[in-house]
Amino acid sequence: MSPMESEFERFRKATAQSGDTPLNPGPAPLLPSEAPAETVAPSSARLSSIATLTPTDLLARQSFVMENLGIRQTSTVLEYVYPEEYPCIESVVAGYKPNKANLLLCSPKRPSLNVLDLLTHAFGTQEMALEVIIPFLQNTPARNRTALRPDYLREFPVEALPDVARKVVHKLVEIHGVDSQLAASLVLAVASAASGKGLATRTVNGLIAYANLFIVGAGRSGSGKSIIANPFIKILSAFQAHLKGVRKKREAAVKARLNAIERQLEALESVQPTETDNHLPRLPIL
Amino acid sequence: MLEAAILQSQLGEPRILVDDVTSEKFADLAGKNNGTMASISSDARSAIKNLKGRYRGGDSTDEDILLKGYSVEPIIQDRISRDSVETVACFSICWLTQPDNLRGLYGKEALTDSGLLCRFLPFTIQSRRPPAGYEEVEFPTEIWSPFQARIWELLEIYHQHTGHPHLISATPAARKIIIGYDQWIRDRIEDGELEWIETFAVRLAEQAWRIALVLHALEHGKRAHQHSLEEHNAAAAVSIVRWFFSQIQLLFGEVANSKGNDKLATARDFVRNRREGIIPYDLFRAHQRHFQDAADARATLLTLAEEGAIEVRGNNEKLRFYPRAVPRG
Repeated sequence: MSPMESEFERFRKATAQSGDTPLNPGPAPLLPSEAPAETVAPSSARLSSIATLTPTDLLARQSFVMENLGIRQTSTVLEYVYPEEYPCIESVVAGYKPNKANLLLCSPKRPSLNVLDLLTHAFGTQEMALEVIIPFLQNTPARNRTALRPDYLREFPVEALPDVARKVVHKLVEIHGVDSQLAASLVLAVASAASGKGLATRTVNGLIAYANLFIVGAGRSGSGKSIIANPFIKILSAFQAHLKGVRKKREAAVKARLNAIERQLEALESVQPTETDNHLPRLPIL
Repeated sequence: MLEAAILQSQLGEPRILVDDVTSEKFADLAGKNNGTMASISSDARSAIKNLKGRYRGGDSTDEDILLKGYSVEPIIQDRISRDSVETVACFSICWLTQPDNLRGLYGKEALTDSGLLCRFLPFTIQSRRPPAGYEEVEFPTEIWSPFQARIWELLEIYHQHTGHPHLISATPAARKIIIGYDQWIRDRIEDGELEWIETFAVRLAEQAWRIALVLHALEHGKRAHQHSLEEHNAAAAVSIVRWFFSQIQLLFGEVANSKGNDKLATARDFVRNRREGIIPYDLFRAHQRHFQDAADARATLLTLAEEGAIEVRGNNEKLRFYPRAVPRG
C-alpha cells in the first residue's frame, strides 16, 4: 500500500469516527502520526499542524501562497497548482470566452473562503487539499512543483472504490499498464448493470435514484480498451448463458403448461350455452 | 390469460447484454427481459453511430429510448409490423471508443439539447499500453474471484428482481454530503462560474447518488438492501463525480477547439477556389452549420488572413477576401 493510499484510508476511518464530513471538516482532522516523513508526501505532524490552524492563520497562509506565486485571485490558485490538468485551457477560453478563473472546477468567488476550503471543495477531502497546499507552504521552487504533484489527483480516485473493486483496478493497472480510469469505469459500469432496477435510494423531494449509469470513454487504438473490457463483459455474458440454461430446463414444463391452458380455453369455447345462461333478455334484431 | 402471457415471456431467449442494436430492437429486447438491459462495448463505434441517427433521416438523432432507460421510465411502443412493447426500462451503458468519435458525439448539439449527453459520464484514456513483458502473468484468482462473485450475486438478487425496487435509505451524514455538494454546485452556477456548462453541472448531484448506490452495492453485495447508504460511500461518490466533471470540462475544450479548426478549414477551402473574392456573408450563407452569422464568418476569415493563408483587400467597412496569390519567380 502506497503512503497516499494509507493516508486516504486513515482519513476515511478518522472522519467516520469523528462524524466530520469532507464538505464540513471538523476543527481538527484526526490523522495518526505514524506516516513516514518523505519529501513528497508531507509528514502527518505537518498535516495536523496546518489542519488545526485558526481561520485567521489560514488566511495569512493564503496570502503567503498568493504572494509567493505572484497571483491576485484566490481562484487562480488551482490553475497554478495544477496547470497540466488543463492542457486545453486556451481553447476553452477561445470557445467560451469566460475569464480563466471561471473555467476551474472550484473557484469560489467569495473572498471569505480560504485556500484550504477552496482545495477541499476541489479535491473532495481536506487531506487531499492539504497535500496540494503543503508543497507551496514549504516554499518549493517552481521547477520542482510538477514533481511534487501527487499523481493520484490527476487520475481516477481509485481509493474511493470499495476494497473488492479497488484491488481489481490496482491489479489491472499493474499488469496491463493501463490508465486507472479505464479499469475503474468498467468496474462501476458492470456493478451498475448488475444492480439493474432492483436497488434504489430516495434522494431529494421524494425522487428515487437507481444505480444505472451511462459511461462513455475514449482512447486511441492500443490503449487497452478491449483487453480491460472483455473480462467484465464475460461476467455478464456468463450470467446470460446461465439464464439461458435455466430457461431451457424449464422450457418443457412451460410449454406443457401453455398447452394445458390452451386446451382448457378450447374446452370452454366448445361448451353450448344452456338455458340458465340465457337469463339476460335478448336484444331486438334491428 | 395472464398466466399464459407470463409463460410466453419465459419462452424467449434471455438477454441482458447488447452491443450494436437499433433503438427499436433495444426496446423489443427490454420488453422481453424485464426492462433491464446493459450495453457494454469495447468498440462502440456502431452503437454511437446508431445514436447519432444512422437509421434516421437528415440530422435526426435517436436518443429517446436511452433517455427513458436512464430515468427508468415506461416504454410503450405499438407498431403494425411487430409485437407491442410495454415495460419500465432501466439501461446501463459503458461505451469505449476512439477520441474522434467521442468528440463527434459531444459536438452533436441535438444530443446536448435533448439532455442525453448530460446523463453520460465521459472520460479519456491518456496513455498507450506499454509493451508486454516476457514473463507469464496471470490475474490473481484471489482478487478476481471475490469481485466476480460479488457481481454475480448482484445480478441474481437485484438484476433479476421484479416488482418494486428495494428502497434503501441514506444516513443523514450521507445525505448531507451529496445535498451539500448539490448546493455548492448551484451556488457556483448562480455566481456565473459554471454557467457555461450548467446543463451538465445540475446533473452532478444525481450522478453522485447513483454512483454512491453502485459503491454501496459493491461493498455489501446481496445484503445491500439491508444496510443504509453510508457517509463514506457518499463522500467517495462525490470525489468520483468531481473527477468525471473535470473530464467533461476538458472534453468541451477539445470540442470547442476542433470546431474552431473545422471553421478555419471550411473557410480556407471556400476562399481557395474563388478568384473573384468573397465577402463574409457568402461564407456564412454557404456554410450556415459552421458559422453563427456573417460576423462569425468575418472573424474566421480575418484569422486566416492574419495567418497569411488568404488575402484581404478593401477598407474596414467593405472587406473582400481572396485566395493567396502565388509569389512570382
